[in-house]
Amino acid sequence: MTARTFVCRCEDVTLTEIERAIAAGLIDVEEIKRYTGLGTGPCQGKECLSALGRLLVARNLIAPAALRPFTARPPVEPVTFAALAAGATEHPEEPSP
Amino acid sequence: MSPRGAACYRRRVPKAPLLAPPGPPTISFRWDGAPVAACPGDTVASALIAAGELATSRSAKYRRLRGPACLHGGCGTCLVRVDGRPNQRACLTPVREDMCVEPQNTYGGLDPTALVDQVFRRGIDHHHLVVYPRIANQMMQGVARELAGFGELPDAPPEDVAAVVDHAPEVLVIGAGRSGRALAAALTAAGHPPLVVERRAATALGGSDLPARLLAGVGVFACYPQERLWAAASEQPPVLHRLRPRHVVLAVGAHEPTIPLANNDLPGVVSARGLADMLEQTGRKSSARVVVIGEGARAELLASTLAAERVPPARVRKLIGARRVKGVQLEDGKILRCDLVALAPDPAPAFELAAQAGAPIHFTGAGFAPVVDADGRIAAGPAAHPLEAEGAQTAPPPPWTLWAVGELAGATTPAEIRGTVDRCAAALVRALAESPDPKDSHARA
Repeated sequence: MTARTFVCRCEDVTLTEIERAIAAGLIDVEEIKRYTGLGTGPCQGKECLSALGRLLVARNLIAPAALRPFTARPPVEPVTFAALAAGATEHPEEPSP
Repeated sequence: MSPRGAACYRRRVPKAPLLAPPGPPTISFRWDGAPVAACPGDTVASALIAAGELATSRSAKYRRLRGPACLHGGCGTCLVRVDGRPNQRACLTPVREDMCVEPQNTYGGLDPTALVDQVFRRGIDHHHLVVYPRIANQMMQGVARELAGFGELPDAPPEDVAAVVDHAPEVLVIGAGRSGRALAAALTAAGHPPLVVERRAATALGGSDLPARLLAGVGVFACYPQERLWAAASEQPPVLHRLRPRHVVLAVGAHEPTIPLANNDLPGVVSARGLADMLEQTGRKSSARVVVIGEGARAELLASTLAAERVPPARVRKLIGARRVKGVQLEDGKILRCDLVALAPDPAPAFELAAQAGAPIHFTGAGFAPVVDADGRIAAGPAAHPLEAEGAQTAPPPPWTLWAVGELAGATTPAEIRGTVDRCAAALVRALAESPDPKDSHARA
């Protein structure tokens, strides 16, 4: 087995790949996500996002106050199409004023 | 060829058990064709780890063995096929007699795709791998599609059409962990029993302090502020829950991020917090040699709970093992032999639902978290729809107040968690007194 250090296990993004992204001038979570695929697997960043944030801050690449997560879009939990489709069988209610 | 079809018939050499059961096992299910003994209260993951079965899948790119890791429903590598349904989280799936559990994305013990890890020692740039010539690209596309998918489609469509249930609770609490339960108890004592939604199954919760109004086995998967809606679902039975609460308390805890160490993906590398919680919930006792990797008081406490030796990450050169973790090699060359490695990072708050609800998010040093006041109140403004940034300016504020307790509110120790719960409960009871539920007054009238 090859020795590899993973930052994102879902998408097999290694520390080496993060280093390459940093060497290419990328210092932002969103940029590194787009470059490496980090955070795009089934866990949607729950395991890797903060690990990457800490790494960027520890290397003084970005100030903590400037660090932004990638957008946490639904679903944050797995949901079946069957359950989603059930909500579409009727007209959505008008929100009460 | 289909990875591990529906057949459940293989014989397998039993491995040394790692976790002792609380009593005689009374349940038997099949893992990859062979029987595994389990106890009521076990999840698929706890029973598999107990039996020494640590690998449940192969990774998409380097085809390395992976298994249950966070033990908390967060990480995505314990996905297994259960009774013909793909992508079930082993760590959240309660065991049932005769259930058929199969690995995903693997072709068995001598999986030829495992060679990818050996061949591409310097890494794979999958954006540019075999792009030219076109014919080769088309072949590569087929290979990639076969290897990178997550599970096969279900054996059969669901038998039941999913039901829809609408709820309009006065207070919705998301999460029935320590903080969620304590908050529900405090609100109930003040005459405002909340609706509590918890993604773990009721059988996996245990404890005598379960809230009276509890939806267990139901995961809140979204907040849609513009639709004034929180959405939750269960898969078995298939039900969509639409929640329109007046007050929402997020008690969703924290994720356990990975610690970047060589071979930190080996089967048997788990979250220390997840393992400790799993032992508490199942009543199992660890008979494994465990090494905890982490720094600080929390890691020290987890190591003592797990009766494990603790080493700080800076002292670790790499984790060793091939099909499962066998030890920790330190920088001085010394090797600590073990059966499980338990990572104890600083927890990262589970900020995702708060962000969807429009909460301002900041980096705490450990991870991202919503900005909260002393009572845990989140000042969520009108949430911007990602595609309608302009219109978001005129959107009405969400029709609920939003709060965070426990680890999401920055607490780490039990005393701090209790403090966030007490302050939030007191403030929320004041808020409820100031604006009584119109439904309630109508009902009383």
